[in-house]
Amino acid sequence: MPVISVEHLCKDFKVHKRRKGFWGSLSSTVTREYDIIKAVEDVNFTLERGELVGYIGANGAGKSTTIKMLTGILVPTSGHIDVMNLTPYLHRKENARRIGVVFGQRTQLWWDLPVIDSFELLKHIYEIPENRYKHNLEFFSELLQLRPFLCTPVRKLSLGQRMRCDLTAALLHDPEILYLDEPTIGLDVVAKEQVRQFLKQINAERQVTVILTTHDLNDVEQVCGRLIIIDKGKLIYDGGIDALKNQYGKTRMLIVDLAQPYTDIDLEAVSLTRREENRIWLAFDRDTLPASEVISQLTSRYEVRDLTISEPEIEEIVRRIYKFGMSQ
Amino acid sequence: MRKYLAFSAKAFQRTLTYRFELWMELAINVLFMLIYVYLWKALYTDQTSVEGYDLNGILTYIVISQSLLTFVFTLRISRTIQAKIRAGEVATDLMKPIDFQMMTLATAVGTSLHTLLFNMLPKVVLFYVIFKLSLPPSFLTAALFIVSAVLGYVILFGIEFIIGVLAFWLIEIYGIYALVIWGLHMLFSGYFLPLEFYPAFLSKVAEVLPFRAIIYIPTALYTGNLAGSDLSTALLVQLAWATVLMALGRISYRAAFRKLVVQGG
Repeated sequence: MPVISVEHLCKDFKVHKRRKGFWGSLSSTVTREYDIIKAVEDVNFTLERGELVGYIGANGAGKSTTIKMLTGILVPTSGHIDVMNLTPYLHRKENARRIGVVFGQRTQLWWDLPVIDSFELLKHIYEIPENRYKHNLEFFSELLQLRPFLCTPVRKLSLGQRMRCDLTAALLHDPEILYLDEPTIGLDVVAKEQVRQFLKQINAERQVTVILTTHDLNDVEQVCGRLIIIDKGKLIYDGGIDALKNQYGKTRMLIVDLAQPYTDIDLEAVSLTRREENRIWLAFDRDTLPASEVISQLTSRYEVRDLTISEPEIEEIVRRIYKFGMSQ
Repeated sequence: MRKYLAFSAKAFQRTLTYRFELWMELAINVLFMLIYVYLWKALYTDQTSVEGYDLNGILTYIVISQSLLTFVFTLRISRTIQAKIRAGEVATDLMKPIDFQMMTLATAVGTSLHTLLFNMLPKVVLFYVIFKLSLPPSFLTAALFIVSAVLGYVILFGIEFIIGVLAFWLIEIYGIYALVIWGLHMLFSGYFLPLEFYPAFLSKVAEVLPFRAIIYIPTALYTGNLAGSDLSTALLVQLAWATVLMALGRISYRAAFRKLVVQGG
């Protein structure tokens, strides 16, 4: 039984078309024209309990719109959503009790009050039993090292500290699903790593199902087992990260430092993609051509000083998918 | 219920954060009340009684109505809702297992409780001491005044909440807010002078609008100018407006929610 199931999900936005200039503005106040934007178009997927999924796409791809529909604050234009046997927008409050949400760009903590006061308020909002609240607060304070600033007003926290508090705020009531919308945005390397380790840990220990939207593909690579890619509202990939690499990352790159700037580089089934003085970049297909063969061809004809092979990075693959689509 | 009380407590606590602003507000209020008091004293030099208000009565009316008016200044609910919608913060509220209208009311009550304790009560006591104002005619009147003032508060909240929710459709609501609160409310709530002083046609208009239920009814009740069967009718009218406006707020909020587009993201 899946925790989340989404079928033929669509969301259209009506955007008021404004005309240019003075007369345009004037006529816009009388007659209105609308453009229909398809923010999410026929998206299907299911999630099992305890999965940790990266939900990625370029800006405006429809990620946040999907998350808003899953949390029940946006009503789909058509299609079906089932979250823990509830329809989120019809059962907003019941759904809200069982989910946690973190937005990287805004906080759910009370800006002017000490962190601990926001936690206390959440205890009442979610009607968390006292002993459970104490236990969880203890657990997260330890794990995320919150103690030094529990009594500091939220507005005085650093971004990293605030994010750790927001994560705690989203988890105090033992939600079954955690939605994270760009939780590592703006964080430094150490803080990012802390957040990632934390997510892995609560997913493993507490069986929380996690959906993570992000632009930082290192998040996805290090944390998520599964990846869903959405582009212009449509789902274009759903599967494992390794499978994506195998399928779309067949091209390997050999970076070679030559002893002199040869101009007659010509190797079979290898293409020269870039050149900087004595350094060249050679692309070849991993499946049809072993690296050893490329290297032996190369060294037999030219004098080589140094070389490195780079595997396709998830970042590069996804960039190509955003740009050219799945067909390449 | 417990969770909404927690909201009130936090809102109260938050108001304490910005104390200087509150002292400034109190000082300005007191200045304006002094102006009104001396204005009425001057107007009454050749009069003993107008429309059932003697000098002491009109000064009491002014002090009570001006104090109740403080809620209008400190409530700011419509603007808070609008700001939340603009920033997309309303999404965070809606992702919690709480009723949006009740949460907003609880927050408003917390803020207003602070207004009551640290602004209204000191003002009233100060003016009682300086100007020897009159007390309500009976203990029952005093008790009914509290009921009536609470109903008036709920009506004010109801109106502000509806205006705030309109921001879901309009984004910018200052025009409507100004028209309703600074226009209609100021004219028909009776904050400036008792509605008995109005010409007949204006009184008639005031009768069918909810605004007189915010300040005029509790204040005229307090001074004893609203009594007998008029008083019971007035209380029922307040109750009716409170119910209707809260229900309308709920309906418009539900409608807004159904077509909700959270800004940004």
